[in-house]
Amino acid sequence: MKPKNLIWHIFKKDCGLLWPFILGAAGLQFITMALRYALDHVAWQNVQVLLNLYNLLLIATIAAPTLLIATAVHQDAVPGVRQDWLVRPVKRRDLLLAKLLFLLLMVQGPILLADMMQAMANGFPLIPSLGAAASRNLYLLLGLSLPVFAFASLTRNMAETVIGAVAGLLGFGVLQILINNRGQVGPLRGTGLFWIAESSMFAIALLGSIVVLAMQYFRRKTMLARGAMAGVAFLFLLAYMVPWNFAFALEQRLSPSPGAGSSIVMTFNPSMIRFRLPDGMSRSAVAATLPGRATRDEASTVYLPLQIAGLPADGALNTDNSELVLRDADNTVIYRGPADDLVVRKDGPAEPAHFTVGIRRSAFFRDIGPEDTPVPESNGGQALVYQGVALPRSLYDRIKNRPLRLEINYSLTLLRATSYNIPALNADLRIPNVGHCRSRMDDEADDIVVNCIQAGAASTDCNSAFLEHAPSGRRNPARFYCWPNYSPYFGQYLPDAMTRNRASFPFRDLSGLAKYPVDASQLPDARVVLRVYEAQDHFTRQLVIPRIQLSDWESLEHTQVAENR
Amino acid sequence: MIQVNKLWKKFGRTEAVRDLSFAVPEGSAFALIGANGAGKTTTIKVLMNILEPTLGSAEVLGVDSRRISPRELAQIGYVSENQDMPEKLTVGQFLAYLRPFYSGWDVELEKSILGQLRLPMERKIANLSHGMRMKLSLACALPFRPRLLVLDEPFSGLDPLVRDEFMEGLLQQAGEMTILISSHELGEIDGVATHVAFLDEGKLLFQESMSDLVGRFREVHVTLERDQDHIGNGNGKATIFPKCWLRVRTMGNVLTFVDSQFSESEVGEQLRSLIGNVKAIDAQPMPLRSIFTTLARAAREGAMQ
Repeated sequence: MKPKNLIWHIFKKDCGLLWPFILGAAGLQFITMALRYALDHVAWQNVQVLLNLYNLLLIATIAAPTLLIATAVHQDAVPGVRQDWLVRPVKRRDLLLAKLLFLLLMVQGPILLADMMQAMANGFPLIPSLGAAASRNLYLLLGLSLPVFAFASLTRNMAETVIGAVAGLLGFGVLQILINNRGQVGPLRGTGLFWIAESSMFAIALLGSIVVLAMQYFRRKTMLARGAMAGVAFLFLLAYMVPWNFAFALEQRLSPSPGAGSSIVMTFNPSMIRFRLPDGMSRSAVAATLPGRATRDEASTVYLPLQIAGLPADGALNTDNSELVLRDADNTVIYRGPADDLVVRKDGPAEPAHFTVGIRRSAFFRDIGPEDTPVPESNGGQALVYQGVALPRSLYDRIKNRPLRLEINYSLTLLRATSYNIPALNADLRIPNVGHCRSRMDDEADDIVVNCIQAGAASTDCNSAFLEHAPSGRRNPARFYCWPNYSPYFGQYLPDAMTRNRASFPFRDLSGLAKYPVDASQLPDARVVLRVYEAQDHFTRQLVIPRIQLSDWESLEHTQVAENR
Repeated sequence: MIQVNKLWKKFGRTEAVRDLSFAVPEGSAFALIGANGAGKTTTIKVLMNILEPTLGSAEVLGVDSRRISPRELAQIGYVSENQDMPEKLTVGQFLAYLRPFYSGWDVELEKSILGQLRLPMERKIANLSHGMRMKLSLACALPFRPRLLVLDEPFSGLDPLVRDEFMEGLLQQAGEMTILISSHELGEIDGVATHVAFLDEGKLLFQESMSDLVGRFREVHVTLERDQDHIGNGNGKATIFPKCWLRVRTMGNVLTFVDSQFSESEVGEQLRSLIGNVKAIDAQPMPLRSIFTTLARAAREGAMQ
């Protein structure tokens, strides 16, 4: 037989031996896909039961391919001295390629097919469906299947694999805890740049898998390969720590419209009044201590008044990272750490700017910040906002009345909005980059619910949306969500190759206390306005305040509490 | 066909094979003999490139064992009691799976061997007895007419009937092929081996042709003029005999020992010069099993140098 026929020959042998397992694993993908489709499109009475079942199946859709890969590899295990293939004229390259072929056709293949069918069943054409499915498939291949293949090649049987995996995960977890305890949570975590860390991890996983597989199949150096695998796991973890400056420089090079943010200027405006916490929030209420970078204490947080010029009328400014440097009178650095994240948006020339401040990683929209607060604009149309600066309490108490030099090094992204209108009642339409959207009134008849589903990635990581009565122009309060992801590719382990977004827009208060500008009577002429912000430019700015006394910029609420003590 | 040069194989601190050198001539049936743990299987696994030598080297079919490729493996048949075959395949499926890997696979020969070994084609390998598995292993090793057939403890655990069937199957197809067979009992390879090497605790004690081995071992019974109870009864006394005399014993006026370097012309002279009162000498050829037992015991007692 010719070599490629022998690859096929070994592949067929594995298929013959494992066909019940192959069918089971593939069946799981299709059953899960069908259940998801039913959950998306059918109104079920007892939906929670189905959701629980679906969540169980989701775990199985990852576990089954993992076990199938390991089982296929173990049919001709590499470690050990008793395997029959070792004494046969089997080219090791052929064996490796046969296992790879199995992985692609019998493991990845059904996932690809199920994902593609899911997208097509949701009404997406073949090419976008295939594109979304292939993108997720590649993601799974690099992030799961190949590392599992390499790992399984280091073991003789499933028991060894499971024990090795448990030991490896424990070691991996301990390393991660050690790193986290040093306050070194990955700099890119929780930001739109995390895809760079993820890509680095995948690159390491790919290279590591190739190295381990080559060592195993061409040299049969199991102990050495196990050491290499441990090294790869360590490097994988290190990739989590990609330095911010490097990652942002790379992201800047990928800016879709370089220079679009060049007109944006951020300046300190001491003429503004001090910041006031929103009603109902006190410093004790907003104090939070979270691990690593997310440590925040409202009692030692100051809010610097800033004015932002040059923000386009349909733009949003997102701080991807802000590094605070405080210097003493003699220019020595007395503190270097993160400042609060800040998001400023402007939906149109006639609309006020809004801002959100807090720590993104602790879900700042709810826990700390004033969320999407409207702010006045100066005569020149500049947004007047506040930058939160949270310091360790002991340090703050020591330095709050000293004259300091303050610098904030911003890594910023300018996003521009595209608006889409969705009729409030019973709409069913396709929106480019958002997906297939449907609107309806909910069962309580107090919300308009919009569900959008897209094959692959949807551009809705940063958006504002509100209910509008088109003839009168009346609007209900907007909902704003901005947690951008700048990834140029689509990938997710679970649940499938689709992106789903759901939003509710209230128009009636069931308690009768609130009244909305757009109410039930106006719904036939109402629409949901969806503004999707997409990144245009990534750039840096530096804010320098040569002389500042931090206590001057405590929130009004803070001072009031302190005076009452 | 096989050349082993100063081969060492260590597992951690354990030396499984120590400074091993031997040669297997083409066309021979070379038996690697030794007790359990002597290093036979390790040596074979090094020859098959399943294990790498720690030091030294081995050549098989003119190729360094570390570089043995499918080209060489296509000319080597391997039968071992330690062989994990795909358990879920049936006998027929396994043979069908192996066929394409060997360009010289002779289907007619395969049929003939299968008929002779009476293997159940539809039965899964997992359901085969140990003897059946060994026969299957042999059936998979012969149809491509290997130049070298390696048999690692092929008779271990086989009942006499299966063993005979196995041997019959083997001998009928042996032809010109070179055979390397390992066993912990010399008697098992009686009538098969042309050469033999004896391993003990990883070291080679000797290697030679079977005819030389059989020729130089004799069980010698010496009748003395009078009782010589003290000869050979105490350790100190035994040292007066040559080292090639093994298992020296006396019973009344009869002295018995195994001469591992027997020479008819020399043994009488040696006895007379050492003991003097020799009445009669009777030297009998030994069965292989007895030679092995004597050698193994002597090796353990450190008698052989």
